[in-house]
Amino acid sequence: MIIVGAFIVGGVAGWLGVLPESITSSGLSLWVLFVLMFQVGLGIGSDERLRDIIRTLSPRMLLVPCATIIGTLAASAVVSLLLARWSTPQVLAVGSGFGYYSLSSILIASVGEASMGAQVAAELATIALMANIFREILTLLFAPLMVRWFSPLAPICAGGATTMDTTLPVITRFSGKEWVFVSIAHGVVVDFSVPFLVPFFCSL
Amino acid sequence: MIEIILVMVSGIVAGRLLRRVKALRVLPVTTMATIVVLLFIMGGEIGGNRDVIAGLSTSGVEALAIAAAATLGSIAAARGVYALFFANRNNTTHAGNEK
Repeated sequence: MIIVGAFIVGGVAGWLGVLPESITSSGLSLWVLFVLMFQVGLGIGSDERLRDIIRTLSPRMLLVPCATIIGTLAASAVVSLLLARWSTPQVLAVGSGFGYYSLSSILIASVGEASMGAQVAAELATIALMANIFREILTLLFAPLMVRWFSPLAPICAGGATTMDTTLPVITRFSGKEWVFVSIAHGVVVDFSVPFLVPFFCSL
Repeated sequence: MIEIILVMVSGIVAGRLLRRVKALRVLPVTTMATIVVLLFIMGGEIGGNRDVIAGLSTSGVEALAIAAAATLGSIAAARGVYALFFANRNNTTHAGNEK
């Protein structure tokens, strides 16, 4: 919620026009994005569980993140037909945030600027931020029903990139403790796909 | 695009090499701080854009539609994968016990 708070405070400051232009110029945010991506990499590389997680990755378990990615992209493509304002690749860029709202919106705002223009990229980044927050909230709220109606894997696939941290406790509680490693490995794989898929769909 | 991936991969390599360095324990805090700074800048860019602010209610509905579709699509795929590859074997070779 600190993240959402920072976005809202920044939004109000920008709306009031109190921010210097040097802060809101896109050059700075791209450099801060590089710093963030390096830290995300450091976090993955230095994780002591990395070897355990890689060891538990069997071909069968890799089907779980594949289901998440394919299911999300297919449904995003379908819903893009209803959203006249946005093209299918743009909706796919939002969908491929997989709940990683901070990174996906930042990537769309930075990378999308070149292909779709600053105005459209900013608007799509806002949608990405909201859509991916909603996805995380939907997972947290409906995990018990997902398990009952769709299988213990459902909250893991719904949680997307968040299943190794924020939605892990809910998944453990409702899917069962035996799914913890599947959930963490799934989170790592889907997390890793975000910086590939979001810029890819932005460039189409 | 490629620069972002390269920066992340170099971070992974550095993280692997430096995994015993205690200073890396502050990483969750610094990562969070960087995200906060980035979202603040992004909020500033968006808040200063009158057209984006004017269309915020429409954007919210669109965001909800994408979130609902993405969630439904992934849980439907989860059900399929579970039924085909996990359901029968779940009691004997449980995924969590494979390690």
